[in-house]
Amino acid sequence: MTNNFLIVSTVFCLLILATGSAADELTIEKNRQKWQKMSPEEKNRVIEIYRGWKAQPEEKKKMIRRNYETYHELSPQERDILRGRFRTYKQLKPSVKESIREKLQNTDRFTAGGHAEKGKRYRSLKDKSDEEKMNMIERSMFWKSLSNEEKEAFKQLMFVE
Amino acid sequence: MNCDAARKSFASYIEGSLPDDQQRLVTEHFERCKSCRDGYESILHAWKTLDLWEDVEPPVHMKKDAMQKLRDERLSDRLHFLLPVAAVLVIAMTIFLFYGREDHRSIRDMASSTDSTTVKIKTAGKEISEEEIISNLQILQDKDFYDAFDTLKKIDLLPLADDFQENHHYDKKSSLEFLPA
Repeated sequence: MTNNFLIVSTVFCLLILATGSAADELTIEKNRQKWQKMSPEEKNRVIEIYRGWKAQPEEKKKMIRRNYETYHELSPQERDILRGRFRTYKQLKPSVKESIREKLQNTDRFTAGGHAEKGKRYRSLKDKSDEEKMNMIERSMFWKSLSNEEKEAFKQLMFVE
Repeated sequence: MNCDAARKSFASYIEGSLPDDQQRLVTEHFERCKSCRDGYESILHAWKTLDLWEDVEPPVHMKKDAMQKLRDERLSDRLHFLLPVAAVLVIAMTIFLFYGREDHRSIRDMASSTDSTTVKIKTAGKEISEEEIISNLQILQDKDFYDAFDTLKKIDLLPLADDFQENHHYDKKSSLEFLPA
C-alpha cells in the first residue's frame, strides 16, 4: 500500500519535472528562433535592455520575473485588460505616470494579489459596473490625493477600451 | 558379526565398498542368519529395480527458468528495499526544484555571472552572454510591461480603510462587502 503510494507519487513528481523542463526548453527554443530572426538593430536594442537589467538589484529582477509568471497565469480577458492599460500607461506624461505609480505604491493600500494587510479593509473592483467602480474610487483617499490631471489619467487606465 | 552390524552394512555390501575382511564377515553372517539374508535380498532386488530406470536429463529451459526465477526473486527483494528510498529521493528532489524554481531561475538566468561555455557578444569592450539573453528574451522584450505590471494590476483593488477612518464606520455594518482583513 505504502509502496504503491510512493510509486504513484514518484511518477507524478517525475511528470511535473518533465513538464516543467519541457516547457522551459520550448520557451528557450522559441526565443532562440526569435533571436536568430532579429536584425542587428533589434539585437542591439535587446542587448541594451539586458545591460540595464543586469544593473538592477536582485529584488527588482525577482519581482519582474514573478510578474511574468503571474501574467501567464491570468485568464485571456484579464491579460487583455492589462495590455490595454499598459498601452494607455505608456502614453501618459512621465510625471503623471510616476506620480500615479508612487501613490499606488506608497499608500500601501493596494496589493498585487488582493491580500488585505492586517487591520485594513480592501475592496476589489473586479466584477463591478463602471458606475459602481467610479463611485467607490471617488470615496477613497487615494483619489483625493490625485491632481486633476492624474485623476483624468487614472480614469483612462481604469476604463481602458 | 551380529544382525545390527550386518544390517547397517547392507548398502556398502551391495556396492562392494566394504574392506575385504568386513565383506567376508557379512557373507558369513548371511549364511548363518536367514532373516538378514532375506532383508539383504529384498534390498538387492529393490536396488536392481532402480538400476532399470533410465536417468532423464531435465530439459535445458527448465534449469534456465529455475535460475531466472531465483534471480527475479533476489531482484524483487532488492527493489522492495530500494524503490521506496528512490521514491522518497525523487519526491524530495521535486519539492526542492519546484519551490526553488523561481530563485533558481533568477540566479541562473539573471545573475551577473556568466557561463563560460556560452557564446559571448562583444559590445563596447564588454562581453554579454548570448545564451543568457536568449533564455530571458521573452521578459527582456516586454520588460517595461512586467515592470509596470504591479501598478496596472493594483488599479483593480480599492481600499476603503481610509473612508472608514474618516466616517467612523468601524462599528457599523456597511452596505459594501469586504474582503476578510
